[in-house]
Amino acid sequence: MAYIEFRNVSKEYKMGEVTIKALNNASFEIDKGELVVIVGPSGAGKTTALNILGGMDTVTSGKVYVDGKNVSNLKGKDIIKYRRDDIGFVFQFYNLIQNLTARENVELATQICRDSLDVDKVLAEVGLKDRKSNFPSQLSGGEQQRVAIARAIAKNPKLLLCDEPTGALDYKTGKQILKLLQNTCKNDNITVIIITHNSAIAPMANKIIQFKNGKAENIIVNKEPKSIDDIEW
Amino acid sequence: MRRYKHKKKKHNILFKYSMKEILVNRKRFISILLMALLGVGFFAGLVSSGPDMRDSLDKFLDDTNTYDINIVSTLGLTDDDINEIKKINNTENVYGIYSKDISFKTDDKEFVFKAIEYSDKINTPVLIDGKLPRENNECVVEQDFLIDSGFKIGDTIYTEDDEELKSNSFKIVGSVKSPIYISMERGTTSLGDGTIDYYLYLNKDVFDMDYYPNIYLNVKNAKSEIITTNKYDNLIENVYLDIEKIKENREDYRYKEIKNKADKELQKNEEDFEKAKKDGEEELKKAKDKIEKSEKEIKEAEKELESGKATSKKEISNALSEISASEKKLEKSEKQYKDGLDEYNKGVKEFKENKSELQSTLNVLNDNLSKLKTVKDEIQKQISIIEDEIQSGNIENQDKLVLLNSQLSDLNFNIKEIENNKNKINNELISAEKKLNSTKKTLDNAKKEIDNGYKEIEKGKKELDSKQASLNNEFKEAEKKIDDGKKELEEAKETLKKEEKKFNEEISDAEKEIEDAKEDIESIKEAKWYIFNREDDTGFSSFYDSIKSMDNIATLFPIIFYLVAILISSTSMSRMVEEERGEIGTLKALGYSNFRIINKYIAYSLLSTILGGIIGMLIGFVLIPIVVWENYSIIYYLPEFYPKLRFSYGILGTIIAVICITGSTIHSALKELKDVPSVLMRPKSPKMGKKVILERIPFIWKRLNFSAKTTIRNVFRYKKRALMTIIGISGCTALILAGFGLRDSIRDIAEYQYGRVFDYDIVASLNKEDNELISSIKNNEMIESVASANSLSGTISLNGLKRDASIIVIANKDDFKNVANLRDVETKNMIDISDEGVLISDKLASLLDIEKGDKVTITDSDNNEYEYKVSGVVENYIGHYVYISKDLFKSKGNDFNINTLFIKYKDGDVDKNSFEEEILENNSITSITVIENSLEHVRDLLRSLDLVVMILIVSSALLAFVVLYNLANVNISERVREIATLKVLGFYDKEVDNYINRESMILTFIGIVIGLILGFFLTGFVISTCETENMRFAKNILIHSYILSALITSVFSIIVNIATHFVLKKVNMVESLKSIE
Repeated sequence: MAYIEFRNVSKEYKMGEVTIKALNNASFEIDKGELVVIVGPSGAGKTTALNILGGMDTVTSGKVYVDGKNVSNLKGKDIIKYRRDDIGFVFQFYNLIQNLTARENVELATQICRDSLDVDKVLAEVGLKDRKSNFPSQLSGGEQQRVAIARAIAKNPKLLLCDEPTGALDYKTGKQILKLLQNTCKNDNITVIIITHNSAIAPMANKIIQFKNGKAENIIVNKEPKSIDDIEW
Repeated sequence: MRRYKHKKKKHNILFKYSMKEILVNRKRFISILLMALLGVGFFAGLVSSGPDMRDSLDKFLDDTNTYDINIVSTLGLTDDDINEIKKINNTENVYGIYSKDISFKTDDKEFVFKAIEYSDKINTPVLIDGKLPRENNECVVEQDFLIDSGFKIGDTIYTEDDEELKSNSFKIVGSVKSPIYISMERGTTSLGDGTIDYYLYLNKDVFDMDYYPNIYLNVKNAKSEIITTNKYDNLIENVYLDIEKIKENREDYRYKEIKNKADKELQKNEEDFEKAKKDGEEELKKAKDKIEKSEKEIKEAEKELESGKATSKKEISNALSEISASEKKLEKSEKQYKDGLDEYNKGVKEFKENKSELQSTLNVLNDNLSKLKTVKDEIQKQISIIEDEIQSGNIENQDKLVLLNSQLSDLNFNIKEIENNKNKINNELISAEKKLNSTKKTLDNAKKEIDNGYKEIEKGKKELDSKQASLNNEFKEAEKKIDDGKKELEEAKETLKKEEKKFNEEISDAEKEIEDAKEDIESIKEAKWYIFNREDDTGFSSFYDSIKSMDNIATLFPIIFYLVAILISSTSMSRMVEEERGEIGTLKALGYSNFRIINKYIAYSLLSTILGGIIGMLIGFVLIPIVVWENYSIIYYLPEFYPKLRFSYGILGTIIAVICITGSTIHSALKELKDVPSVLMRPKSPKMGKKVILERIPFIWKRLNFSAKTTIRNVFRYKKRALMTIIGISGCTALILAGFGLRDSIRDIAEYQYGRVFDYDIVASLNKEDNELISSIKNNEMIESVASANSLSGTISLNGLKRDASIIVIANKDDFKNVANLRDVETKNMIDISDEGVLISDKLASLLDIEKGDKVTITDSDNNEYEYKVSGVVENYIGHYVYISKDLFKSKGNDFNINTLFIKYKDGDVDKNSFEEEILENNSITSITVIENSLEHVRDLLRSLDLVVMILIVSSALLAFVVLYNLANVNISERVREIATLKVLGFYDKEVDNYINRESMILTFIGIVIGLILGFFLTGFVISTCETENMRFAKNILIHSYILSALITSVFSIIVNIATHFVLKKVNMVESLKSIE
């Protein structure tokens, strides 16, 4: 069994009398330590899949296994525990706590984890050694996203889920962030899944999953991922 | 045309939009509605409570023709007085009303009633049950009597005979509510234990009184004014002053009237007395004379008896001697008789002898005679033959014849002789026999006489004996009679003595009585009129005070509510505007004017405020005044309540709410609208994180754990909200504490006044100085101490301010110290009463702005003014007092008369009732006031303030809840992304709760602390507004009140936290974190 198995997952939302199928029998597998890029148009179900994988949403039908554990059946405290211990999330808009410094934002995550990483070390890793006592509002977008990534990886998660992490960033900064994510995956052996609508960055991934109409239409395994430095768009 | 249509459609859309907004943001809508509801409801309810109370009472008093002015005179009032008062302008409905205190004793209880004449003209009681009294032996009682005693309509009340009442039993025919007794107090009396328990109404005809205790009257047009208003007061004041003008005249007139009447009566009594005395003396003299006479009579009778005895003795002895004399005589006669008898017997013998001799002689004679007769016959025959021969012519024999004749004649002679002899003898015999016979007869007679004599003597003796016996009886009887007479006499003498003594006593009593009456007449004091208006009645005035407190509360509370409403709605609405900034930006970008955009929010807040206001005022108008009234009904006898919908208040309240809520909405909307659309359409840049001051103190900061740090920083980040939470919480805590504090403060003032300040148990009013009584009380084993004083009422003034106060002139400072503790109001040290100046109770001092050393003017009831220096201000809680030493008082030229005793019992089990009843029987005591009873009364009165406390607590609790809930909602909606982030990070629900609630807990804590401090001061403020004129509330908040206030707020905080928990749980991570596109 693969490290992550997304098996025949469907997700329906009821909006009034209309039922919207966000996911329609989607299936894919991801191996441990892979960097996966999920691409697809708006409304293809990328984010829904990511949310389900991250324990933020539930499935209507189908099964999701992470590290051999059936995640789709988790409820209540267990699902929180799953998020807490196994998942790191990075959002497009960082979602940092404005009232906390960079370091404190990371600390916010580590204080609730069992085997968290050293906060300062992580911050140094993401290149914010000197800015760790700044508040989010004192940091640039890229820096804020670095903090967000630091916060996610400091938890030492099994999965690092990134929803359009560069969506709000300029090209250069975006590239740096992607570089960081790639390094994280490589160095810390964390499975990283990145959602993007920019298919240009796909070559950096070990696996590219193309979503369309709620289905993982195309799963491309990239035997030789390129370093982000070598990708231009 | 098309344009028009278009425009109209736009309007519809906006309206629809607003409606939708309400649905979507219904929680906010409801919270604003609730704020408005609370604010307007409390405002409308509280503000109209006072007027409702006033109007309801006013209506009752008008309907029952309750007096505006009540006149009482120390010497009673008359029809003349009524007529004089009727002449005064603007008086109407002037009636003298009879009343009488009566006592009704059952087996185990005594009820003292005030029996009042039923009048349908003035002070007309309202019939509750049954019917009105029509007969002289019927009455209607107050409802409470039936409830308390178990008596029912149809039962009968019996009283002792009273010359001023024509009946002594009254059948209860109904129950009434009197307009003149709205408080629990019924006044004092000299009956029973000194307190009147109930009132009852009787037919006017029952009363047999020659004076009216009260004259009641109405003032023209006063009915159309509402009580306690200036207009009403002015109307009354004018008439009051006019009555004051005739007062002196009437007092004087009445005094003279009474005195003259008394004098006349005295004179008549004196005359009667003199006459009675004379009569009595005469009668005594008569009795004495009678005794003397009967004494004489007895003596005479004795004498008579003696002489009677002597006479009868003599008589008897005379009779005896007479008897013996006649006996002797008889004996002599007997002897004579016996001699005679002997002689007679001899004579009889002789006679018998003579008789036979004579018989023989006689016989011889007879023979001779017969022979002679035969011879004679022969001769006669020869004579006859010769004569016949002669006759026949033979003459031959003539010679013979003549011989024969001579022979015959001789014979005849012989015969005759013999015959004579015979006769002689016969005569002799006869005479002898006759003689014998007569002798015999004489003898027999003598014998008979002698026998008769003896018989007579026997009879005489017998007679004498019986006479002696009867005499003896007679004497005995007479003696007995005399003895009886003597005894009777003794008795009569004794009786006389007694009568005399009694008479003398009676005379001296009567003399004393007359002396007393003279003295009494001398001591008849000038009549004194007391003119009262309704406010002088403790019932009315304390109820007015309650209305005033209500009014004060009505101004204080809504302010707090509105303040909080502004806070809440401004945060709530500005949050709403903030949330919709993107939309506002869009609308703005589309070209909508600011006004049109704001319209939505205005409509939203207006709708919620007005809706809340209307619901609030409808609830408030009815609920609050009724609750208030019902509460006051516990301690007052109140009429039916007529709550009114005072829309002006409601509209005013709503307008204020609209200004507060919609105003703050417009304010925050305008603030947002200042930005250009592009800025608006981007999410508002989150508030910057900042280092808090605490971080600059590494010593503390380093020691805090991470979550504490975040919490502290969060608290400081949302300063406005934190401030509001603190203000809200502290406000609520302060209100709750003020409520409890008020209760604590008022609950004990009665105990303070009658425990800490006054230590006595009884106040006795005397009508004259009675040292005997005082020392007897002093020596009573139940009594610890007695202090005597001259207490009077007067007016204290300083710089134009004046107040009525009780003036207590203390006879003996040390005695007074035993019954009262006069402490300096500041230092709480005991102050001595000095001869230099007076002591003034502190509320009075603060009302008149009097300080130690000031010179105050005291005006007594006779309008005499005296100036005194104030030597101290003393602690006091109920009433106003001025203490003056006897010497100081006298030095101003006043007379000092003890008229009040302050009596303190010994500790321990004392039979107070018996003592009280005992001293009430003393004539010098007019009435007593038992402190325990007044304490009860004051407690009742203060209980009405519990209501204020309840309102404070309930409303502030409501407020606390609304504030906390609102703030929690705003907090969550503002930080929903943050919360979602935490959730994504894997925070457990509890950890998320903590993250959010820890803040509110800290803020609540800070709010509570500040609130307790604020509450301390607020209590002072509330107390000063609730405090009535003659009470000093002792600001005293108990520790447990602090704890309880903190606890109540905390409980609300916890409830809100629990509610928050569910809201937090519902926060959807995916939705919340959706990127703004």
